[in-house]
Amino acid sequence: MTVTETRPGAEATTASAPGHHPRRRAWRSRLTRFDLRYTPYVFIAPFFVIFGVFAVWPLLYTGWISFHKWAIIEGDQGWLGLHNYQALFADEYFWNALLNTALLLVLGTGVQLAVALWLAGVLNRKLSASAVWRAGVVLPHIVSVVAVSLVFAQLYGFHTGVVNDVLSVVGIDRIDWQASRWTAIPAVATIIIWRWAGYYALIFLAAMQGIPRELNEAAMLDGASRRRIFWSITVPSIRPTIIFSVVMSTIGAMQTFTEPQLFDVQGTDGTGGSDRQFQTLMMYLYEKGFREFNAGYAATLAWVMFLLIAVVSGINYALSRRIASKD
Amino acid sequence: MKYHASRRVWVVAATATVIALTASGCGSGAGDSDGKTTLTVTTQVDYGYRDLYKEYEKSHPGIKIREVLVDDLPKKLVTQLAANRGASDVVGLGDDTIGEFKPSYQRFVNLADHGVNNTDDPWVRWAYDYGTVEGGKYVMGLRTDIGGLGICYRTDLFKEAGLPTDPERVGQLWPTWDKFTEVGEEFRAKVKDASFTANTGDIWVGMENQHKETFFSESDDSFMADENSGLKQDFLTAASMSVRKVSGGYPPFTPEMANALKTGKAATAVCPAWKLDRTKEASGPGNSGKWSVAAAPQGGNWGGSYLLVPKQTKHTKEAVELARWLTSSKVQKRLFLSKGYLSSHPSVYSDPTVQAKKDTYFSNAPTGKIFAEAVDKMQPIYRGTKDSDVATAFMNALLRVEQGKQKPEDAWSQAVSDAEKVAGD
Repeated sequence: MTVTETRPGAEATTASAPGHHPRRRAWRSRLTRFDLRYTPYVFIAPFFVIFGVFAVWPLLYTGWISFHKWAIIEGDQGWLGLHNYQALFADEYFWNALLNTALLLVLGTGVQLAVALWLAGVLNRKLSASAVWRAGVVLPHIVSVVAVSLVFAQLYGFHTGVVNDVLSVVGIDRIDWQASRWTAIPAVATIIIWRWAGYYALIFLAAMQGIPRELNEAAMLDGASRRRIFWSITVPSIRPTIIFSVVMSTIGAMQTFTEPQLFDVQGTDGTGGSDRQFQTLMMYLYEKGFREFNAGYAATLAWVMFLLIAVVSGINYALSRRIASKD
Repeated sequence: MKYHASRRVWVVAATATVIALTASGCGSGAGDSDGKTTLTVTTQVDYGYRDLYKEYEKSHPGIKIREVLVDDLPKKLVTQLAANRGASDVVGLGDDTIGEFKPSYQRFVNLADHGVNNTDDPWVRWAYDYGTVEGGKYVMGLRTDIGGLGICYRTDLFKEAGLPTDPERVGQLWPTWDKFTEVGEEFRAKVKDASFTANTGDIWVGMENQHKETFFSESDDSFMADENSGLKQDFLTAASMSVRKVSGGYPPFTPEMANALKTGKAATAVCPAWKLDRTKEASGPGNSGKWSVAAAPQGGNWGGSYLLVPKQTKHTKEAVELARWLTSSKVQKRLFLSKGYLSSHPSVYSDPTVQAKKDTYFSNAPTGKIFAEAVDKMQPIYRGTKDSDVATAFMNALLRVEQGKQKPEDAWSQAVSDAEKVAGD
């Protein structure tokens, strides 16, 4: 108490309310109890305030927009109820974009994590100049996605692309990569793999470094092969990390946008090729929302994507749990 | 003790929240710290204004101009208008995108309220009118340049094909686009390692700009591409250039196209005035004198822009004055002579010094005369509010033909149904 009273703020309080000591004490003890109980919430409040303002509120507001005919600039143009949702599920371009996104998810994410696991396994061995190799694999990730996508789009150019130049040396005809889904999607997948494999390799590597050496040594003494050790010791040991990576990269892959968008030679129209061969859900959302200014429909798509991502992430979580735990 | 500690926590927490909220909430508001008014001008591509800004700052000591280039300006502008903050003092919109903003014209300053009209220093009627709404009472934007329409061609390849190389005679080769295609087939028979024209997309845009009405009807803005037989005919002509191997299939505005121009893989390219500079840049100084320009079949116009002043600007008067100056005939004449951008003022493009302008890079072709004639031949085009939305469907359709995925007739049908879907929203 004495300490408190030496403070300028407290002095002011004392001066303004002389002779009311008992009441003040009761007030103080109530404050102390309040403090004990609620201060922790105050500490974490900033996070929830920001999360509420920038995540929950936009999410709910997007939901509200999706029930309206809504133009981006002029706003509400009338209540539609579930009409946008009905229209979306009857929209063949939505299903087309969903198929493309699913293909990219399988080709991009699947291969990327496999490559990452392999890279991590290699980097986990004793290598000379290991820091250089480790920094090297993450290099593609820190290069701007726009630059990477533009470079890849040129590599896959029909007339002057290097990929076709190499293929023609082997005797394969030039391929118009953008022309068909079955060439465009793998091409886009290579961009995604290029960008992300190294990133996840480092995450896997960090987890692998945590595996006790004794396990490996014991297995080696028992005569286990390198492959056997990898699948029976390394992979099960980093299970939580694999699950985390699968879920995170699934969420990322479901929202794939920049790579296929910039792969499109026609520029920023967002149709993903002449026949929507590589239009993803996110690109379709962009086309609807920011080219046609149809915010209601774009909001509907955003909500459907949100639910889809939740479901697919859940499935992947369950699957990767099962796969990574089989021993 | 605890009371004080927790009070400090309250203060810290509240401050942190306020900082976080304000930091994310406002990003605009350029500080006019040195007592000068800063005007931000945002355009999608370089309008060639840099030197003009410096000059304007010199003659207007209280003004500073900040130039911003934004690749997807229309999309950014939409969100800025919706949020009512963040837009520049002056924005440039192409004649293919201003239509999308017409339903929201009240978000822009009515320039008529600031003394703008089409009698002193007049623009060509259709170009001025397209920047207005409410039957001309509300002036939304001021026209910068216009495109005109010409065809750039490689004289060396034309010689190889036994075609004339003089601009006058080349222009006479193709009074119509059908004739253009026939010349292309003739060319293909003689020259093996180059295609006659770069792509069909550019040709189509040139053709489409020659119609009075294209996708939407002038009377009520309703979708009419499905009944526009003239437009369909042009589409089929353009698509047939892929089928008949007259087009090389180098997609517009891509490195592949630039490379084709540079290496002489394409003998012709559609050239509105503003494209001359780009063609020059793409093909490089080594090709100087190999290119020339001739009149396009049927004349016409492609491109040109408007300067608009969003209502959210804090410097309306200064912004309007700057936009007015940048689009004046005096400035536009200089831009033509230095950059080749064709003026939207008849007083400029009929000016003898402009008409006499020749371009050495383009084999001394009389560019001023060619483009002025193209504009004289053209009729005002009606553009619907969803014009640029549906245009993509037709560009994609031509690309499908070029990629060998579809026959021209089928591509047209799909384009119409795709466009209808967009127009129906």
